[in-house]
Amino acid sequence: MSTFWLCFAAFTTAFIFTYIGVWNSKRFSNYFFLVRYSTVVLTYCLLYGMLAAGLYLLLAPGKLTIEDQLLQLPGEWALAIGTGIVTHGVADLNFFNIRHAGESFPVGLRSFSRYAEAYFERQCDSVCFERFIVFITPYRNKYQQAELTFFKEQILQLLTAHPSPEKIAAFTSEVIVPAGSAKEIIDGILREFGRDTLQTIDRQLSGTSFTNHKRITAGIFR
Amino acid sequence: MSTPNAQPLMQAILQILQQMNKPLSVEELSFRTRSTDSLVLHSVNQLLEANVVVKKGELLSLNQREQDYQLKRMLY
Repeated sequence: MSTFWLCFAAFTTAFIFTYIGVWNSKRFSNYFFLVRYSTVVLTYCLLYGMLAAGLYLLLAPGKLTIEDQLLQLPGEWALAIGTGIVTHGVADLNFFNIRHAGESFPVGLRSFSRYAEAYFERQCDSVCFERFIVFITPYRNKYQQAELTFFKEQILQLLTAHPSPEKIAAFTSEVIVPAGSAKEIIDGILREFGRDTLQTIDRQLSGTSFTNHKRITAGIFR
Repeated sequence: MSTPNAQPLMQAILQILQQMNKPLSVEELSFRTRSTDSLVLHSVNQLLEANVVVKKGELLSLNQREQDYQLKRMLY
């Protein structure tokens, strides 16, 4: 089998696994939908894909052997796919840390990869923030005139149906109670529960007495 | 008023301002720290009082004159 296709297998596997890693990362979590097709994320996956292809070329001449029976694949394919799977882990290899002036510096491949990771996180957050504003603005505008106490009560009432009471308790004490505006609550719902929950709550609020209450409140102050 | 999360949040804010090396709004800091505006405002006010950050309109940046000393003191 030509080396090109084996390198391509390593590349594709690393690309997919890196993408899944970003998707599952705690950092992006409920914001992932904002960056899923962004150039930054795809470039990041491309980088690890190319690293995997390079790593495969280094390992291919027989310095490392993998059992032929592994995954029922021929050894060369198992090596290519295995390389793709472990590339991100290899880049994170950290042998020991040096501490100087209170700052910890990793020694290993992590010494280099941490700069790439930090750069990626900053760039991704920049893209994510821009798209976050575009996404959240219509929701903020819709509820900015809402009477805060009534809005909080409505949100709490809707969230009682949520399957995780512990999460609701934490959200109530950390976000809803101290919130000084509807904006903070809306941002918090997206951050903690995700887009689907925010849209469900929005649909529910649009169809309940909230809109009537808003009209009544607006009528009083007119 | 002091919140239990204030110190880590303050460190996170300083690290972000240092890494980004440009002025940021409270809203962007809330987003990047995955925190609420109220908590970020509370920490930012403390940092403004300590003269570690400066405010230019809606944007906040590190106080370059103070940062070498204060930043290390706040972070470590």
